[in-house]
Amino acid sequence: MKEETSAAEFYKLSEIPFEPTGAAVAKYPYVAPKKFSIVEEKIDDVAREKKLYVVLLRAPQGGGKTATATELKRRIEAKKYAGGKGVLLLNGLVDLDFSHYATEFMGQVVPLLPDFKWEKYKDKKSPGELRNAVASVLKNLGSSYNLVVWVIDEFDILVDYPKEKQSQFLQILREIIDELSNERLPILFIMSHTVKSAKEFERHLKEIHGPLQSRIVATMDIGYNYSEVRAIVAARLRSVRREERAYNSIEPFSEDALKELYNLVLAVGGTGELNDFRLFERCCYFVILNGVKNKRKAIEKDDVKQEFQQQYKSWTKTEVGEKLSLALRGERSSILSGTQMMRNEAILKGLVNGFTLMKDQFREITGVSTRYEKKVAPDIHLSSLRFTATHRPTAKKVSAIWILAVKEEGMVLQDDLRAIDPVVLKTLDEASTHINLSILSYVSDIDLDTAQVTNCDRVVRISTDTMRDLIGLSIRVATEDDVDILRKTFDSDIAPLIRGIFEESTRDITKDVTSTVIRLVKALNVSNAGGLKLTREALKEEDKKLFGSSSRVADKHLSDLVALGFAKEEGTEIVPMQPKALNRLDELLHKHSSVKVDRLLTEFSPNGESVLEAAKQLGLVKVDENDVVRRQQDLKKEVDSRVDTIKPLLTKDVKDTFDGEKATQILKAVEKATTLDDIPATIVFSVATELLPTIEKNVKEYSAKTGQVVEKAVAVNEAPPRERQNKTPAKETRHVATQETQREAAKLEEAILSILETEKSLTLEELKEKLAVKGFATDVNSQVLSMVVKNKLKLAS
Amino acid sequence: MQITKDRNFPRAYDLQIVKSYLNVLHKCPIPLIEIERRKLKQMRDRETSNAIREWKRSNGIDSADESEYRYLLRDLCLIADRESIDVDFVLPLGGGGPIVGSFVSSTSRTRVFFLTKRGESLYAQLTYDRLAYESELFWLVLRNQFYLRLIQQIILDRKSYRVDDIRDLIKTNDSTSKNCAIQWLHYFDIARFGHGCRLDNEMLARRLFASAIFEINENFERGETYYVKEIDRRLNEVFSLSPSATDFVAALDTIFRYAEKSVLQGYTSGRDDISLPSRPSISMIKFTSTIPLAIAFQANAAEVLRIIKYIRD
Repeated sequence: MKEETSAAEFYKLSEIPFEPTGAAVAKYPYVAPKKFSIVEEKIDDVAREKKLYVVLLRAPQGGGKTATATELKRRIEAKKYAGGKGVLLLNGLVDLDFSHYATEFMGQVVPLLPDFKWEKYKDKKSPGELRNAVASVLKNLGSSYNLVVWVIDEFDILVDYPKEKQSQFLQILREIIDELSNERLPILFIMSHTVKSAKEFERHLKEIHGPLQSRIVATMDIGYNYSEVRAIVAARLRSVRREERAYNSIEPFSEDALKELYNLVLAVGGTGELNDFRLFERCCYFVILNGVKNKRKAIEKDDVKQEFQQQYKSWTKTEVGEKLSLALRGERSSILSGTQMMRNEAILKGLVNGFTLMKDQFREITGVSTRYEKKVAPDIHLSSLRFTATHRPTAKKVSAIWILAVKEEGMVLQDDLRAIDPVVLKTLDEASTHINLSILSYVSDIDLDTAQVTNCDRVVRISTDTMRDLIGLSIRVATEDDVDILRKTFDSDIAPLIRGIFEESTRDITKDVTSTVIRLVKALNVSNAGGLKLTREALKEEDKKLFGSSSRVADKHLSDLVALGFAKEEGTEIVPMQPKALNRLDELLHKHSSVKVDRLLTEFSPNGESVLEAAKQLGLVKVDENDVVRRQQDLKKEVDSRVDTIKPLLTKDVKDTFDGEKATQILKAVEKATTLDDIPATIVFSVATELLPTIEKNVKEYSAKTGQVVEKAVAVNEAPPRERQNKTPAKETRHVATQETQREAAKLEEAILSILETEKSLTLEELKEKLAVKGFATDVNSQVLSMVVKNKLKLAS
Repeated sequence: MQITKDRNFPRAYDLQIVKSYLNVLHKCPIPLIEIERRKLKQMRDRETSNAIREWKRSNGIDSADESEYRYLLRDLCLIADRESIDVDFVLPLGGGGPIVGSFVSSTSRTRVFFLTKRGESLYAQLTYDRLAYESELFWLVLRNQFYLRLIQQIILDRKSYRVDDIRDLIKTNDSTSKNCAIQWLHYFDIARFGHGCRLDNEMLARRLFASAIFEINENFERGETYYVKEIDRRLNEVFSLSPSATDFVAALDTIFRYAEKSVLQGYTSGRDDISLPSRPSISMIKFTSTIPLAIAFQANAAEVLRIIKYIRD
């Protein structure tokens, strides 16, 4: 009977070098994945240090679990490790009955320990006795061999049992591990599984049995990258070719087709590496078979797609992971297997889409742009996202930059931050316009100490799971159901941080600064320069003292003062600060001396007008008729002249008046302002030029009323300095004038108090009317305010 | 472009006072602004002013923050105002106080405040069923679109369900809003003070469940069929919540278990849509009658806790 030839003949292959079951072991050449070397490193460590290592390993289907263990066994038998004196024990878990496991384990070990007293453990059935037996056998193996690799395969069947059973089984393992750890034994204990990622499985173990999980030294997912998969395919095809081809040829697959298949299978696993080789192999088999049927000379992308969809349907049923749409998985996998630049871009776009889902936080996200910034040695890629967000709870318009740092072959570690921080600074410096808020995020599964990151406002960690979901969120074909699945990690890990960041970390001019806040800024800076330490309430009082009480200062104004970056709270004290925008404006004007309004509006967009207006109101800049902005430079001169005028007017009794107190405070602030930075100093000078003329006028009026003393003082002030000293009023005269002033003030005070005793509360106008009836002057504002300050009067709400 | 921002919470810390307002406004419209303390201080007729004050005190609405309670009632759509008409001036204030005309001139453009339909409905709940009243008030607070979403911040933060003090998790610069949110949660028995301020997970879940029932009863059409996932999405949207934190499908599942057949009917979808966990064949629901609120309090703890995914996880 003639033997039927394989359909693969069509492609000049003796057979299709892939198995429909995907379960061919040792039939084809083994190509170790890159991460196989990590297992080998652990083996070396164990043998050298004579320590017990517990490793959680997720080996890929087909190319992994069995094949990895078989390959390890082959290499141990080939005396590759531990000076050739090693042994590998491999048992699969069938259920969580420890006696079943122990029986199989013993059966395998008997030939390895011919001198062991097996009769001691014969007929032992209780879990405690069997545990002792396993531990004792392992101890013996450990002392007889230089390396013992103990593998429990199919470890993930654990999850199919009730939690109590899982816990009992893991407790036995933990006890064995603890016993072995007390001695110097070169044992590598590998728990290998296929379901979920190693990290997810570790989390599960932690929940069921924390103590065992805490003994795991390393967890790893072994997967293949594209070039490794390509090498496997080429090796398999090479082994069955009937015609010579290039060594690395993958014919009949086109490069695009193989890459597409890789991406699609990758999508099922959802990680950046292929970890379901069995599905890949099965697809390869049927693609070739169908290629023959359809007489395709080369297998193209579409053929692969079609076949994958066909095969995938039957595989999805057993999948435990996410239920994302196929279209999304496809696109995500191509991003995951693309360049790091592409992945970064997708993560940042995913973030933007996450923000738009936070309807309670953002009314609008505009001006979105992403940029690849730099590669930092060895393989950290930085990208940035610029956007403007309208923050709903505060109505701030925040211009933000989000810098993302991702390590190509793993997670960002502590040392990497040192390399990242300078790049962040450079990125911020190079920003084309002013930024209110800067955030650095790094992709890592461990929390790093970010104290050393000083160049941005906040640092946010993105876990690898969140990263994958963000990439999914960035994909346009995502359905509503996809978004519901993908947003979970964003909602739980990033959204709560975002709420805090936009509320608390944006300390800059991000909305209009009201006139009340401007007044508070001035009052705070003057008081601070004058050496006063203020609480919130004290600041309100200072504001009232300096600027009167034309409008009420509410708590929201104080909150705005802090939120806009003009102050910070240190305990109960409120301390002046400068918003970043004003610092930036000052820098620009120092550099260019004059800048056009339009340029500044662009620079501080979307808050250009607010920044410019605040700077004008605070006297930091002036804008001329040609719309050119300059720093206020001649303020100091003007202030000095005002100070020279008013100082001599401040006699002892004048100082006791309301205006006198105000003037004294301002003069004190002016004196200290010269030691301050530009911005606070200018604010103080600006307040001085704003208030001193009125104070001077009031003081003069007051003095005119109280008699010659002040007149003399004015006269002295007008005289040349040398004469001034000689013409200082005699002490006696001053004393008389003071007494008279005090008497008058006391009379007025008495009158006010007597009126209020009968009337309880009055408006200022009503009080003036009543005083006029009694023959007092109607200009009693200063007296009333002075009584308020002295707590003799209370302002009714 | 004018940016509208979320309002801070009004300084209306004590929700007990809402009851007092409902009680007095139910009797007749009241010129609330005219009887505020600041107005009374300016009133020349001391006797009337004192009488009004006494009346307010006896009715439990004399507070330093009375205008704040007025804003709250307005924002929850419980009261509305109109220009006064002649009849308003001959009525005694709130049915038992001084005649309104004795302190408000009929020529003035005084605004009088009255209970809206929603306010009357809440008042009705207040008189019959305290639990229902509180649940409705919580529903109104949760669905209002004016205030900062601080209560939502708590619900949406995974940490809320584990920490001893949820106050640290509220991110806002407005301390009044923060305190108010906490006091309100305390009023609804959702936050409990002790060593810190802990969330009562079960009560929160029950309040959310009750809110879902109110929302369905009020704003979902009778006789129309909705996809389960559509109901879940709509409820999350109207309450400013997220499907990552809450699972109203679980609430629907429980409603199905407890409600009569005449209240709602389930259907299968041919499109492999999300279905009820314990009834995999039901992916669409038609509401035919009012869902009894009692279900939210009859269901056992395990059933209601399913509504908050962060508790389950």
